[in-house]
Amino acid sequence: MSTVVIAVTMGIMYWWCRGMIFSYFGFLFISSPVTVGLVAGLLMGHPMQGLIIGGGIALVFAGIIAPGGNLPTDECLAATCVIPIAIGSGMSATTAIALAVPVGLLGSFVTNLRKVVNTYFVKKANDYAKEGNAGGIWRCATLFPVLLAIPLLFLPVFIINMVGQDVVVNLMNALPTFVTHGLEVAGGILPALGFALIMNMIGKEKLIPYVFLGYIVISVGGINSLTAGIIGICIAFIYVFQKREIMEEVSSDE
Amino acid sequence: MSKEVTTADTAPALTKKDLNKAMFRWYMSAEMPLNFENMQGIAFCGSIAPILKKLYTKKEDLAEALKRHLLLYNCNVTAGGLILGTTIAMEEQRAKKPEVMPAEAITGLKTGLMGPVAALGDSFDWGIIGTLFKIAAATLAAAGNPFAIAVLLAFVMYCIVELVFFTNLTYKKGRSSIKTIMGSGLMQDVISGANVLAMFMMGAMTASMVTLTTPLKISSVVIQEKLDGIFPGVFPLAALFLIYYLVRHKKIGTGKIVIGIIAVSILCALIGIF
Repeated sequence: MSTVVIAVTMGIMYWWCRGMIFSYFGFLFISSPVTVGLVAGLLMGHPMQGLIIGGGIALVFAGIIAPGGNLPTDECLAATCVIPIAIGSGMSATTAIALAVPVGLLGSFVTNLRKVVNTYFVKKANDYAKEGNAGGIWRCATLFPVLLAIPLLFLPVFIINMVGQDVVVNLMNALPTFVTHGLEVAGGILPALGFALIMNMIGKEKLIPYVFLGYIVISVGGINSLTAGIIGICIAFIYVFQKREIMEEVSSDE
Repeated sequence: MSKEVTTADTAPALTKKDLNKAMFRWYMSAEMPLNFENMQGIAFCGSIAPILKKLYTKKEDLAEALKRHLLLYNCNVTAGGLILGTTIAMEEQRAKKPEVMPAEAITGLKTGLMGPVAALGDSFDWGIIGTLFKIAAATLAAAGNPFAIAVLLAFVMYCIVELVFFTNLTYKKGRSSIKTIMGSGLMQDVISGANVLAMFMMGAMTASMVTLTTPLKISSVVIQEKLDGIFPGVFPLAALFLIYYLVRHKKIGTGKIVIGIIAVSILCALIGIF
């Protein structure tokens, strides 16, 4: 398939996911490097390779959630820009992942820019509200931001895909090995940031022993993730039941 | 004589269709006009605009209601069904009897509960359930299994079901229900249990997903092997707590931390530590 078709498809996928059309469908499904990888792979005739590279990138970003909608790093930008180039140039999955890490960083800049530009529609929506124009507000909520997102989100990904391949391959070849290896190391550490953010969000320091427990169950116990999850659920139940029992005893003593 | 009716009787009743339409609009648009001024405010207002239009036949009442819902609103989209259903129930009540349902009560409930409800959705749905689904999908895909797509879609469905369930529940039971749900002993138990599970899984997933090993050797002693003999994979856990410390106690922004991780990684790769 021609580069133009691929570039347009990748641009549309990025526009859809970060324009957040159909909120969590776009935000989770379209944006996943797994989906992007499969689509790019199908278009380029290597669906398996696309899926595998996408899965690798998704693993690095899996722990990164967006509390309050603040995206620290953008898996979809990384996927839509890197995967077609990686498939086209026959890059290894590890190198593709290393490249995806710095590209993802640029994403938070783009998504924040969108939130700045969208403030324009708040004023417009307030004017419509004064007139009692419900349809106008609906257009401010949907049509306008989506159209505005075309130059903001579609265009950059489209351009990178059109001109990117030679530039990126030359760049990756020119980089010294310690930089590419360093990026791979960073890719290995990054999921920890996601987990730390979730721990911070829960915000209960006294629950930190459970982090150690979970860690030890897998790293020392060698148990797989699913079994670890079941153990975790059991511990959660024990914790809740114990707590409730203590509460009941205290209240019956009074 | 018989044509004289009170306003209470003329206020049109909402149908299931109205509610479905509001849910559909909300799911579709919630994050589209996201902005720094009123966050999801435009989307919330736009989603219930058809309902407001139906409830408030007088133009000034409608304008007032529309302006009220353009105020700042930011919540998890699908757990936010709790607030969506409650708000619609309250607006319906206000349209019938404005004196028993002041506008401040509606705004107050929305702004007061968006934080706790978002915390529920972000930490439970996304932090725990979502992360587990994402990891499962990524692992499958990395092994070349297209079933990964179905796993992702399953989580999308979970969220949609949550939105529909919460919206219907709070709409039917009215304003008191959301407080009962959020304040009930059961909910507190679910949240504290989920917190324990999440903390446990953060440790477990650090062990299985974070990779950091050192190639260092002192003469013929491979340091990584020695470390594994004492405490297997101590580096990923150390990295987790270092980052946690920086986020929680040093309040360093995530963007800076990502750049820091990359810089330190490249530096360590240059020296040969990692």
